[in-house]
Amino acid sequence: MYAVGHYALPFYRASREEGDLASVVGPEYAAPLAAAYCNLRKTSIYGGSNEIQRNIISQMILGL
Amino acid sequence: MDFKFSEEQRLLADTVQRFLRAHYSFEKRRAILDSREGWSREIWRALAGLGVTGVNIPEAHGGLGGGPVETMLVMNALGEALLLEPYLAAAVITPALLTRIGDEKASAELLPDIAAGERIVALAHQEPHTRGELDHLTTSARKSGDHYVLDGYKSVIIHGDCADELLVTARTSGQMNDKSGVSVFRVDPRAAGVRITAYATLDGQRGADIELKGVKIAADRLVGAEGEAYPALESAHDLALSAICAEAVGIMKAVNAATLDYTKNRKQFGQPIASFQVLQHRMADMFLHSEQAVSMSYLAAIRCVEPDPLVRRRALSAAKVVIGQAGRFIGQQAIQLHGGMGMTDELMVSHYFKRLTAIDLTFGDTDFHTQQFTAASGAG
Repeated sequence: MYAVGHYALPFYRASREEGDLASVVGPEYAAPLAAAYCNLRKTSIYGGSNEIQRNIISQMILGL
Repeated sequence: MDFKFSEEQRLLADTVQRFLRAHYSFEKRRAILDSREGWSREIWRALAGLGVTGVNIPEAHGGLGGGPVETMLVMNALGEALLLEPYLAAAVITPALLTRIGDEKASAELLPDIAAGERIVALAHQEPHTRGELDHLTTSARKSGDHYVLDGYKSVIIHGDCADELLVTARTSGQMNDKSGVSVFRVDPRAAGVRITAYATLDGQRGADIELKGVKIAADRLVGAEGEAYPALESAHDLALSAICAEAVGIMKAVNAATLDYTKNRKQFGQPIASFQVLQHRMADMFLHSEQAVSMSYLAAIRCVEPDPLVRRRALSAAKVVIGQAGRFIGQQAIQLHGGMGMTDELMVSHYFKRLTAIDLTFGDTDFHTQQFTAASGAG
């Protein structure tokens, strides 16, 4: 997002009604970035949060 | 340094905060978010009634005659509420530009209406290849008899979609990055040759890309002296930087409070998760970042009108860097501590996170301002 700069800001909500803010401005690769960032925020949480993983590492690997 | 606010300043801050807490609930905001226009004219009129839209407008033109500190206090409250209305564009940037450009006719025509909440005027300056540099300008204005012809493209203009009038920067002379040759024109969004593509931005606010093709502008729509708008543009930009730093601070405080509240109530593994040391340290770090951001925001507001340009540049860029880093840390940690649910629309925290992200990308990101700071420190 930082590489793209201000063109990371326009946000297209596909679930919205037809004819609503449809056009894409700026480079095409910029369009999905913000949505991807928000969606991928979950990766440090689901499947066992980072905190839990650190607990597991401490107990199972470091033997603490 | 004396950080005590005056009676008037405290009253202003309280008034705005109390109004928004009463009238801008989470549900109300979501309804506005989903509306066609994306902001509420009713709320805007109410803010005008309280004098809030006139904070940056001189008393002579119907405003409150306030400055960067008053703006900071208002923006703190707007941040907490995550106001969707075009305050930054219409009530901070435009009045600052008009006041400093020294065009009494334009000021007299536009400022009273802006203060009264009756007209939205937005600055269209940023272009596709702008990476934070204010002097980057390729849109051109060719003089031809009694009018100018404007050609160019403006990108991601904040609230450019709903403006009754646009203040468009265009080059009347000079090369792409020259500070001289920058002129400002009053442009009717419905004029021939103006094509506006409107959209919502990541944070729910509205923006627009504006294409200008052979747009004929009468010569009397030039604002200020030809080619000499840069100092006023820079002044408006400096106030805008201070304002969004203050907005971010309002958001950070609200995020930290919400996160603290959540972790005290959320029970997992047989106890409130706030009892776990790791999370306590995480929240302590969040508060640390927030406190630093508050201090830098104060510095930005004070130095915003500092006459020495290097001192001003250093303070504002440093503030933007600290706020950018703090906002990112606090936003990400808040989601982490709320769990995946924190990213959903149903909680305020995701909305705060998105606005903090947008602020970081606005008016130059952290990397850009780090470079600016270095350059202004004489080391670059």
